[in-house]
Amino acid sequence: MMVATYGEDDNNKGEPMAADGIFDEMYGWNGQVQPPYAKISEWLKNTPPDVFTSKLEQAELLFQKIGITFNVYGSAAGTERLIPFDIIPRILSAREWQKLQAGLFQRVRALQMFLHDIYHGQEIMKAGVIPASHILRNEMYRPEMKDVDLPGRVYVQIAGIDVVRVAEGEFYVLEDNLRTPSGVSYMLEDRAVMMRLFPKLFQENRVAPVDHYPAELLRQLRSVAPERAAGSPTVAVLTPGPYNSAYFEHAFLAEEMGVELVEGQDLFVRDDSVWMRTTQGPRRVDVIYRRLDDDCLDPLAFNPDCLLGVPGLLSVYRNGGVTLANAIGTGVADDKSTYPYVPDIIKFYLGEEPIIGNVPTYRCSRDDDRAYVLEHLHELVVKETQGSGGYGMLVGPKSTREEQEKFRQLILSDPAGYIAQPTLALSTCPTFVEEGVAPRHVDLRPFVLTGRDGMSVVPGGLTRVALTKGSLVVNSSQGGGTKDTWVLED
Amino acid sequence: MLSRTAENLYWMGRYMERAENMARILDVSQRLAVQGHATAQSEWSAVLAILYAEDVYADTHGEATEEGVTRFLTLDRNNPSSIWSCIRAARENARSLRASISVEMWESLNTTWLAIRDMTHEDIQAKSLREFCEWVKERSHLFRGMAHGTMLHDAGFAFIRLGTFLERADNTARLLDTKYQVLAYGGESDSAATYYEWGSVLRSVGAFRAYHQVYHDVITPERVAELLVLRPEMPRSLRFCFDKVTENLATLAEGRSLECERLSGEFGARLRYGRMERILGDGLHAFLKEVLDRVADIGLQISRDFLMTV
Amino acid sequence: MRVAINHETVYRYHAPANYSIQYLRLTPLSGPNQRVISWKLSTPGNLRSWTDGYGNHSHVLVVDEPHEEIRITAMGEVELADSGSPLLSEHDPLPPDIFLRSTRLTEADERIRSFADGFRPGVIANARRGLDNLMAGIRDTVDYRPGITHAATSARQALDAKAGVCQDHAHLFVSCCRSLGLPSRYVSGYLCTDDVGDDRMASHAWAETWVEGAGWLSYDVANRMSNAKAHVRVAIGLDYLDAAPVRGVRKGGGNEELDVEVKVGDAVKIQQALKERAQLQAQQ
Repeated sequence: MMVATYGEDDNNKGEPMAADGIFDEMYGWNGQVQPPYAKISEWLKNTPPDVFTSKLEQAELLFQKIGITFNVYGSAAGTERLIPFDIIPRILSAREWQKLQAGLFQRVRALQMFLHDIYHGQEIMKAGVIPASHILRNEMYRPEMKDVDLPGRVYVQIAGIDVVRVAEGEFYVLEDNLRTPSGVSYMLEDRAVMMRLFPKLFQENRVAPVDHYPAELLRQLRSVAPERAAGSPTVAVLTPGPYNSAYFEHAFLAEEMGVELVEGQDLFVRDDSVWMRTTQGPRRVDVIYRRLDDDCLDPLAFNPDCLLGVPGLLSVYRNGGVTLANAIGTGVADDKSTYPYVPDIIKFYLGEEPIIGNVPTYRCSRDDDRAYVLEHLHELVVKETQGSGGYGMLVGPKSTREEQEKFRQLILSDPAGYIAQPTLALSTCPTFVEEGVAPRHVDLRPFVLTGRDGMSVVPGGLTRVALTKGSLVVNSSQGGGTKDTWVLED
Repeated sequence: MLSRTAENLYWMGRYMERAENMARILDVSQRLAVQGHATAQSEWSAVLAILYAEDVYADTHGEATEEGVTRFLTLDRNNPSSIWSCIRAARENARSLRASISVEMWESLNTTWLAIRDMTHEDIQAKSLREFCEWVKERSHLFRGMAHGTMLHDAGFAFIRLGTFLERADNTARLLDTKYQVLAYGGESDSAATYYEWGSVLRSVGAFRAYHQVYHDVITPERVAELLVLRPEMPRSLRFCFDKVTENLATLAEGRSLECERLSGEFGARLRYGRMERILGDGLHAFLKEVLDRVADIGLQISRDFLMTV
Repeated sequence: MRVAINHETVYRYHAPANYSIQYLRLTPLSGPNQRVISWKLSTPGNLRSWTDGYGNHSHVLVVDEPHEEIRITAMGEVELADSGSPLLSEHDPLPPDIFLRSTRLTEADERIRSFADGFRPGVIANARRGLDNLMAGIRDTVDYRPGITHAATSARQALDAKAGVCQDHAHLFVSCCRSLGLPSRYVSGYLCTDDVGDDRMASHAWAETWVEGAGWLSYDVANRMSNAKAHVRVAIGLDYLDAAPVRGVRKGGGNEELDVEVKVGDAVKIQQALKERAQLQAQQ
């Protein structure tokens, strides 16, 4: 796969070379500036490079001051690192966003209904749309959730849906994240920093605001509190603590929402309720935005060795004394092995065709798919069905024979553990790199909120950019960066 | 606020104060030992006595020497009350609290920690023990100043102050108790010795000049005791400390009637209306023991009333 | 048979504990094979009831004042059906497939897999006979010997040790069944033996395995009994952790001592014995 570079000279004012088969967000297929980027492209051309350099430095300082960091797994002793931020925004037109939004709402609505169904009547399994064994044998399917009725039937209050673009109006959902999706704090801080650095840009471009996300999140969380909390439910953010890689975000969201940030030790169970230990005595908690895995929530019900949770929590949850966001047991719906069924799920519950489709996916558990995959390992991206963060993945075109052989063995020994997808020619977006400005692959993670009264989403989301030339891996845990995402109001 | 947050703030305050007090005592002891107004060994033993650490030290280090005791109290990682350990504990408490303290406070504590973390005894020797102690005091003042200047004077701030003043009361009581017994009852009353010994006590609590401002007279043990026990204007006196503790507890109680506030207020009243001749007549040692017990009780009661140690 | 049960659990702490919370699974439910005549659960502190994911009638016990002892007493009478019949899946909230999943305590390693494989042809030919053979095979291989294993021992550790108690037999049986593709689950409850006074196995554990066309069949490996008849069923789960009579944590308390005393007997015989003793005393 060839990657486009935007000219040879330092100032990068040369005409971009078109890349084979890769859509660039700013320059399209053939160097033609796309309408949403009109003003930005001018800005890029007319701003002297040293201004950019100094702004980049300013950005870095601002981020350091805020303390926005990320503990990268595998780096020396959990050192904190700044996530690289790129100052060239990624832009979507209002029309594009409208379509995206409709697709996201449709998808999340269907997934909520799916979750309710598999934990109640199991109609979709009886109808044979999904094999019952696929659901029941999935480790993420939690028996503890069977027949539990949740407020508003909402299972996923916060969904992070990863979307990629391959052509002008052509988006695909790459992955659903329905357990503890993270990254929204970067979305908010990126915007805050951009507005500090380039206030004029925001006057010249009408960009939809995003900073109401915490208020909206709080509203949605409150709406699904248990009945008895009616008037003024108490919300808290439950974090594993400062050693967790996303701790910054937990603290950030708690502060922005004006709610307490708690660890398991701050809570206790009594009288079918969960209480916070405060200096004014115990205070009941009605909704817990938990950033802990299911397995850690209650040592009396799940993993007894994980002490991050609250003993007794499950009993309160089953009795309806507290709401958890997101619910226990949502992992079965965002598992990569369930992903190929999502279009069927949308059709089954909503009777509609998906507005945004899935990436074509081969399921290694199926004989014909598996045969194809083993033949084409050098062309495909192979993913584990229970992995995350891009570690258990084979990127065919970038892999060695050895790596391909390793995956061949893995697939043969556990076919159900793998799916494969063609390497998508993800769109690229101009990004500041060593050589100047160059195209780098991007994806988008909008955060869809669901409460008792409906869904909402803040325009845009987190754009992640793969900083290495040609790399498709955008995960921050493996060295990706972020960009501010603009949805133009027009 | 969360009990755990309050607990962290309280201990952050206590540990920083402890570190500062340790530095003060060390500084003065070294000066006395150098000036030779007491045998070096007795001076260094006295330091350990103030800190109730004689036995612990004896078990692991043997004889009390300048080097041994200094190492023990400055950088010994196995001594939970060494300056190193106190700063580490203060910083650990702050780390859990980053949302509740200002950026400046965190940065100042973190910087202090990073500076002492890998320090060696040789590093201290290279400059001097006095410089090291000055540095510790300075960092502690900076910390207090930051808290005062950059935090909202709300419940969080009150918990830090609680920790600070309880620790300070504890330290003043111990210092006075040890020195008074040694100096008032042991050895001849030699006015030069008295001047230097009591002068050192005053210096260790930064009250040398204050004494002269209040008393305009020679240094006598009785007046030193009075200054450090009853004088309201002396920021390290027991009276001052208890007043501050009661004041902060009243703020935190928010109208509730709490046992910890009662304990503090009750003792504070004794200090407010007490007379030194009476206290000395009944026995300073017994009185100071009571102070220490009362401080411990208040600490325990604070845990029960606010920190929900459940 | 009518069974009388008295189950007392006492925790003692060397220092006062400030807060303790337990999940209790000490209340049997009536079902096709048993009818609960009377049942009482006595505890200190704060008791709330809930139903867990497996349908077990559970409780939450919270003691949040300083305490050095917790005494929990469960007692009552249960009428057992004369012959145990297999349970059908409509009696459960969960479909059998759930009980195929592995847990830390029941994970099948190489050794367990190959041990189970030895019984595979037999099970395929005739499930009930095959499972009876599996039960015998496990029992022959693993001695009943208390003191070698403990509550956290896994099935494979028990197989390695070749000794264990009913919990280990049950885990091993469950593990083998799952390895053979048969849903299987852990059952906790009481066993009424003829020896009144031998309460070694009074608090007991066994297994149930799902056989297509038959239902959930019970296997008491420790006693080589299939089709349990003298068993009062209290709780089920994937393994011991899900079905444990008492599972809890506490803050403070120092070292802990646990005393469990279970008395299970034929209610009629007990009545008889009491009557006879009273008559004897009256005569004296």
